[in-house]
Amino acid sequence: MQILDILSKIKQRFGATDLVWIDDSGAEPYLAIPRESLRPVALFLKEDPQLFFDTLMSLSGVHQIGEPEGLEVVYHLYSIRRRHRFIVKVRLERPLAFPHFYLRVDTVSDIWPAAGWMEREVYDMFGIHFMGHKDFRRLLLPPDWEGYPLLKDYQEPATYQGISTSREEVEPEEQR
Amino acid sequence: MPLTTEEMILNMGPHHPSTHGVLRFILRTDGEVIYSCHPDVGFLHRGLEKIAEKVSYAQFMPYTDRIDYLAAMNCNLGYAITVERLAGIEVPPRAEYIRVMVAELNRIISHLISVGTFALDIGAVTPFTHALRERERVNDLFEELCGARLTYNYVRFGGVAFDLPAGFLEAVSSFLDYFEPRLAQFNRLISKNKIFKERLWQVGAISAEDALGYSLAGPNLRASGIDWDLRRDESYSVYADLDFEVPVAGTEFGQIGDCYNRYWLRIREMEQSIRILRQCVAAMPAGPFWNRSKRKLKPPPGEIYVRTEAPRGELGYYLISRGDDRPYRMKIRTGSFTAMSIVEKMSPGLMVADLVALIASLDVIAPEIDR
Amino acid sequence: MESFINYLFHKIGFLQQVGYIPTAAVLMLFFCLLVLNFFGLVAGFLTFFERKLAGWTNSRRGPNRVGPYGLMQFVADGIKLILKEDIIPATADQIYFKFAPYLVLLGTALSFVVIPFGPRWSISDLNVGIFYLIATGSFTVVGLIMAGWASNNKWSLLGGMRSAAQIISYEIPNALAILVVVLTAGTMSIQGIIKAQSGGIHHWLLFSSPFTFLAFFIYGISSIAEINRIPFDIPEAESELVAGYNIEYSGMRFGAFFAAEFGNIYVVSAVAATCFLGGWQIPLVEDVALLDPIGLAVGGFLGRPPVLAVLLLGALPCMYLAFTALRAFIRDLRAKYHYRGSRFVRLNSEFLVLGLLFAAVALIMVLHVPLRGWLPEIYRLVFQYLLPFLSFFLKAMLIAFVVLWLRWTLPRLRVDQLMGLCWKYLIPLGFFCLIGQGVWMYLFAG
Repeated sequence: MQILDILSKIKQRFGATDLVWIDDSGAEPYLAIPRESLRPVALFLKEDPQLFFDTLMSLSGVHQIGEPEGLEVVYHLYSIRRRHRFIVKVRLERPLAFPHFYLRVDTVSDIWPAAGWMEREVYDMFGIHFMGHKDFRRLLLPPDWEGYPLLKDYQEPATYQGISTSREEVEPEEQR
Repeated sequence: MPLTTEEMILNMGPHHPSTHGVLRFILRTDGEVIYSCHPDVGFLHRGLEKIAEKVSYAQFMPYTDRIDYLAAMNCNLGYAITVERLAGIEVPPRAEYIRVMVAELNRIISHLISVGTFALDIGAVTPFTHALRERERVNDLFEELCGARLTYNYVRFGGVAFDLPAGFLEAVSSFLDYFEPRLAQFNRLISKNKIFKERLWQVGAISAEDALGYSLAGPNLRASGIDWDLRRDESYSVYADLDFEVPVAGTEFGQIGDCYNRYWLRIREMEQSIRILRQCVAAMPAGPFWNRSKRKLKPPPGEIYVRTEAPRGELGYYLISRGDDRPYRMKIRTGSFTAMSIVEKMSPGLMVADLVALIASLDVIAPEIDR
Repeated sequence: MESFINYLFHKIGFLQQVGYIPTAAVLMLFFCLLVLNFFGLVAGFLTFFERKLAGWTNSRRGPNRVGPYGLMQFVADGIKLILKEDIIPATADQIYFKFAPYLVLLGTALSFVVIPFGPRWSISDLNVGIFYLIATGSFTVVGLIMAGWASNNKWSLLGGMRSAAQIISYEIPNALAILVVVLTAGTMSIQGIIKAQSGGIHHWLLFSSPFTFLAFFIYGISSIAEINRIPFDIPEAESELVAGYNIEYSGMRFGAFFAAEFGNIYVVSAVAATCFLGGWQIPLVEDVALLDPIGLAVGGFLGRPPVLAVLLLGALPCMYLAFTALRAFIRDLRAKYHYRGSRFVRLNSEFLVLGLLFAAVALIMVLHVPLRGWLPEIYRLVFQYLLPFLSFFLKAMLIAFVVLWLRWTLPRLRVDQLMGLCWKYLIPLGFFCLIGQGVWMYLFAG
């Protein structure tokens, strides 16, 4: 199916109000949806017999700085049976206070089990919480790590468990 | 009254000769049968995605080698194709054929290590040394070509870094002539061995729904019965002009989706790679090998997701560019990442020896998981 | 050994003054020490040979630096193990941790009491020899469980438990196969079993009946399982348990486990050679034990014209081979000292060794004819002592070679498959052999 047909199917089902279709030049077109409608859209995409998006290719987080400031969760979907792909993005505003309350997205790990680990990685790197995830904790970094590294304004911590992370203090008198 | 046995929490720790790279599994077991298995990854996390935001496009190419060092050419190739598609760079045909040739050679040696370490985990030591012996020949070829044996940094945007040296195509042909009977000998030694079959038959069978749901890719997906190969179905480079078969699981190799099927799939993929290589060697066109641009590469603003078929599955690069000379966001999606996520689901009910076989059959490698 | 002690006692007058019991005790102790040394040497040689074999199967050479052809490698390994730091985990059970290797060594060393070296040579020819061997094989289990438990390590505990289950299970088909042999030979004493296989190669139990043929393979499989070798290597499965019950052992304690394992390989091969391959019997030479070497030499087997002809004719190719090998060696020697880049010419000392060996064999074959009348003592020594020992040793080494070879070729069985093999296949097969052999003997041996 062509992408615009898929888009029209989704708009038919969900109404065109808060689903924003972005088709800039130079990029692949994607559908930006608010976070409340993620789960219904995801279920529809997976189970509709004409769409049948059975594989989640990639689930990534992006920290956009500049005019549309905020975090995005990008879902690249693919259907092996129907041979079409689609991109869905959920935009989140990065709040000044109470980040954990606002950076919340519903999990899709029961729809696409691959999302289980991918969502853990997004949490690890960006700090976005996925509600309803069965085994939600950091994946790649140690569990007591502070900070979310892939944010653009991430400061590396000066020490980790008492060990300094900068070179001069670690090897003070060693000849180099 | 049923017998109660105590439950042990065992740590198949980061230092372990069986795990493929630095991986850790926390097992809850009663001595033999596993109740649950929690993989703990992240020991090899080097922050490649963060590094990509700091270095320029060309400077990131050596880092892509280290995503999967056993299949470095394929990782290089995927990255190069991603950036070329975003920036609209053309690649001359000779470079395309050279790229396919080195990618397939790399596929052969990556699968050699995979089946060799698989046999080693099951207990047979000799096949591993034989696989490494064949790998040495290809390492010599690559050394002649680009100077490195493991992390090549050979593919460039718009072509490849160096032209083929004189006599390289003959050397590749003679390697293929040498390798085909060796592969048959390898099969006689271990692939058809009765004990080997008994260990792997119907062990760790992953159904097709599970494989799709967990986004397994590459040989793992095809071993569960799904006929999907990026080289044929979402063709990139010159794979569309080459004639090859895509092996899919068969019931003569055990249950669909079990470890034996995954093992045999890699052997059959090696045979198909030999076929592709012969065609590349025969059809190698003359011409320029690098469409080099004089200016620093600044792709136009946009995003793109490109995936290629690496030996361990699907290697996807999601690249967001904002018009300057370094990526804004680079997300690397690897085949081993999703393969590792399915271990937790498949493990209850397996014995410890079967868990080792399962991990070895999924062909996970730690740097791909952790990046 | 007793007859030899008696012979010495009567020959040397000084000993008669000391008294029988002290001489017997001292001489027996001396022979025990000799045999223990043999155990050490054989275990060491087998480790070296295994590494060489591993190299050959992996398309590389084995150890070849220490000593000629690397033969001193096991000595170097032994010295290294002795010099290593002895690390004992603080939370391990100290007494049992230290005691376990000795138990395992004890099990192996005790088996050497009845292993024969020749027609009348073994420390003691017990009349329940085979039964005694099966019994001492069980010592190892206690040692392994003790090692696994005392290490205070879940992985070694797993290894110890698995190995206990494996060894105890596989003792049954082991004993059943040995029972077949005892049934056929009619005696449990080792020398008796060997003598029951006299009279030609078709009397060897391997070839005498299809049931004993089958029993050989049952014995082979179950004894490889008894000594924890691949394909039954689960207790020390390297890629799963990182050496199982001997994870925490270092230095010579680990060396003790290692030596016990390789000594066990020799014991098991020796028992297989005894029971199924005729022990120290030499094929084509009848009844070495009652041999009259002088009569044999002069008018007996070796004096018969066809045999003489074969020997003299056989000497010719041997001389030719010796000549070729020595000529190649001399050519290399000259190249080394005349060629400009002579330090790159490697002296192939194999040619020298082979050349001298073939020359010696040719010499013996030819000179045997004139010598046979002159030096009967040499014949006695050779035919009554040296040749039987060589024959036994070579047979045992042949089986040990197969055991070592299997390790580098086959993968490992999983625990439940291992147990299934024992209880579901080998034990019924063992019973079948036993009953079948009984029927066979009733029908054919009378």
